[in-house]
Amino acid sequence: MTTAQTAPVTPRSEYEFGFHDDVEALVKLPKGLSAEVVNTISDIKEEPEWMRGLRLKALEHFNSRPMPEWGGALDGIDFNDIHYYVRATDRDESSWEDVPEYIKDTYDKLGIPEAEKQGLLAGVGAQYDSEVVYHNIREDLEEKGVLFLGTDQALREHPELVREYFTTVIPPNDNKFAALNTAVWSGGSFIYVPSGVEVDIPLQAYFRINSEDMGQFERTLIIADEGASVHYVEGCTAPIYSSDSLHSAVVEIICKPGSNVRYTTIQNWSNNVYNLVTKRAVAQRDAVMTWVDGNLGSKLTMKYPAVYLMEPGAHGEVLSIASAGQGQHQDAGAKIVHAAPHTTSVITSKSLSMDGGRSTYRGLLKVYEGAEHCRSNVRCDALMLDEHSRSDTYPTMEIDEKQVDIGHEATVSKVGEEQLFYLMARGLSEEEATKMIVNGFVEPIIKSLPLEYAVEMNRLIELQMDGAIG
Amino acid sequence: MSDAALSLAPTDDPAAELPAGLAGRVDAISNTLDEPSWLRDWRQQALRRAAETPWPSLKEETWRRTPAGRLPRRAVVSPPTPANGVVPEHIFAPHARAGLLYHVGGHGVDAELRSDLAAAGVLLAPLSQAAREHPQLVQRWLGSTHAPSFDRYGALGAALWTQGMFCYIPPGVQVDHSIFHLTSQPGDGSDLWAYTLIAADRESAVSVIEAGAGPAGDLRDDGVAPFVHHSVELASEAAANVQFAMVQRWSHDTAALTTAVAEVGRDARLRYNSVSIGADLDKQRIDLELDQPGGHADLHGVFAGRGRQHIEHITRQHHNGVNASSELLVRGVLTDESHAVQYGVIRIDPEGQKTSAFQTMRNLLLDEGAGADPIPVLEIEADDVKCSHAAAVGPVSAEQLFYLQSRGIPPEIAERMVVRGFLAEIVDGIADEHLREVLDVLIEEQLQIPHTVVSE
Repeated sequence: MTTAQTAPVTPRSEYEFGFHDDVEALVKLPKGLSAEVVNTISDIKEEPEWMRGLRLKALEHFNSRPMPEWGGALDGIDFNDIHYYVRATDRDESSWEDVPEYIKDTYDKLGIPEAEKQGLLAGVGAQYDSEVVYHNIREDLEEKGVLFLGTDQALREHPELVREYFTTVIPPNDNKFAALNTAVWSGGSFIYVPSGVEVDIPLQAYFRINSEDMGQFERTLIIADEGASVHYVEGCTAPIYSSDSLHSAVVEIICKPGSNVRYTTIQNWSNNVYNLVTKRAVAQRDAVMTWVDGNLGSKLTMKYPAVYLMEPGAHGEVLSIASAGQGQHQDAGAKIVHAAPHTTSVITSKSLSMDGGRSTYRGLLKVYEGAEHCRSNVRCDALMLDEHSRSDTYPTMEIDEKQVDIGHEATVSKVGEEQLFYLMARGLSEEEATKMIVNGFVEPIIKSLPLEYAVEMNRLIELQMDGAIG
Repeated sequence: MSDAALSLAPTDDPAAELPAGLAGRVDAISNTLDEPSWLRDWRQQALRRAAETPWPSLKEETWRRTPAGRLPRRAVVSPPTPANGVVPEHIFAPHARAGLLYHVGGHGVDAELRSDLAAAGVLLAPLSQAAREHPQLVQRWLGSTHAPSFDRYGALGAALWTQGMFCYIPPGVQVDHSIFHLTSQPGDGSDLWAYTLIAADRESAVSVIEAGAGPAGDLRDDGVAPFVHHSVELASEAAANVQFAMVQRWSHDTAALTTAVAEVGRDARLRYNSVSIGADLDKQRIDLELDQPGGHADLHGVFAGRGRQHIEHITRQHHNGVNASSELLVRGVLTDESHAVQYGVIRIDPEGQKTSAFQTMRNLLLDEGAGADPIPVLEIEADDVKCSHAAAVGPVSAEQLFYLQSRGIPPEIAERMVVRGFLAEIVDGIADEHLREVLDVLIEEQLQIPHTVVSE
């Protein structure tokens, strides 16, 4: 066998969403983080006192906690060099026509809300810098009592509902970045699906960072009541600026008995964004929670969507795909906690490393004593496309119960010589053949995405591979 | 004596200083063992390294699951005294052998080597004696791996050992039977520091079986854990074939720490078998270094846990040579409230192209209170590699028991067969027939099989 020849590396294609709008923000707090900044955000939002108190408490947690020493290199983050709040528009619009022209332009370039126009979606939300600028939901769902709002709006209109669930899944002191988010959060989606209501097509949100040195801290809270089902999809982009931005979201999901929640993320931040996100769901009796997590962009992503299986019959699933190119580190994975008997989980992770990028799978599977008859299967595969790249796997398992069936498997490989030879013998170029093999490699995850996202995901991976491989 | 009392538990203060009296202890040990001055200096150098190295932080991945409170906080390091040790039981005494080195307690030592092997240049001697008689050979190999600088424990192990062993196989010499090395815990429950140095020159072949023995039961009655540290250096030159087995059956109250490094030469083959039966806390750190082309190393761990035993395998398969391969297989059975941790890293540097490296960790739990944390880690910077790992935890399969019982086999025998079958992949891979038989007995004794029968 001979090694595949590595073609000379050609410059990466331009970041497709690397345009930014030259607009003066309506409100832009000065850089830096302090109780004053937190109070100002709370003032602007005219929040109830309990939320202000929570923010200030979280700020203390944030200040008192050390930076994590594991995972990726975080020393490039200067917390004093970030705008914690930027607002470009005055209102959260519910009609697309009312959204300011320059923001609409941006989203039109991203192909939003094309999907909504075509009736493919149940609802759409869009966040531009710190604030949600647009939210809409199909009328029939609204009539059934489904809530799909910006989290700020939800706090204004349904304060008691927000208060009941806010920080119940991810407490403010969970980790340094969750504390930061709790202190300065703005925007994000709030979804409530009443008992027995099935939202049959996805609710969708787009997040975009448009300002330089901007921190985006959206806060998403999803509650699926008994027997409800919902699929939420989010996409993220940012233009390229020379200095780094920070995205630190918190997503909390409560799956009540018998509910079914699927949360899909396609993260395509530009390569100067630190993406440090805490996502966690609790699944009650017979509930099903699925995270579909695609990480293509950002400079460094540290994100481990979690499912806590709290009652018998709950099922958690994480499908994760990560692709790391030049200058990127994708430190992504999953965390599943079996805290009740007869719970099941599946983690499937596929990662690609190319062009000097580093992708890391980091996972935790925890089974508490007494959580009998749990089943879990973890499968991680990594594909390396050249000799400059790096792939790591850190799967941690902590099993304190005997009556369980736990398995973990992982592989790391390069694109198979035989597969390449076979395809090239049929007239494909090496590049085409490699793309085809990569497509096959990620297919199990792609096919679980809604169609338009599957197409986009494949396209994004191809885009990243252009010039990265020989 | 109290000036040399040594806390061996990592503390909150990782820079906690070592007791000032240790340097004098090291000299006393060296004098008692009648060592040449260069070896005493080597020990003192190791002690200085230990003083400069902080205790490992309990936040490190390789320590955070360790019940470090079970390591003794008051160990008295003393020079070896006349033999007063626990005599290893007959099951360790092999039938056919090429050689035997036998430590009892302090420095009661017995050594024998078949005459034809001695004539061929094979050396088997206590390390201190070898350092006197063959200084150049010992100097060539002692410290040739990073075991003496592994961490503070590794450095202390190099400074404080009393039961040392040196085995050298000259180029081209093939040793047909196993060489045995028996170490034993001092009967007064004081600490044991053992040091094993094995060097297989090019194209040689050797099998070394080490047994560490303590009494069946507790050694001390004051609640302080007897401590054992075992340093192991395995060096293999080009095309050498080294089989190494370490069977640990320390007293039930012992806290044992192993620091082992194996260097795999060009086209060399090495197998490291680790068998954990005894001790209260058994933490084995084993590094395989594959920096030469074409080397192959197997690391096979087998354990049987009972009571509150905590058994750890911290392993590293480090590849920075091309075309080399390695495989980690760990299989263990856990009863009562015993707990196992496997933290295994495959590390492939950019130079380690065409590496094949695999890890498998399997834990069979026989009781509700037992648990296991298998963590197979991959860190890969070369693209032309084949790597995979797998880990599993589960009970005895009800289907297997049902199958056997439906064929008229009583439940307790069925369970024994399933456990034996589970461990077979590793036990049956041990070349020495006598050792295989001994292991079967030891494991069944340890697990008190037939154990509680699983029924669904």
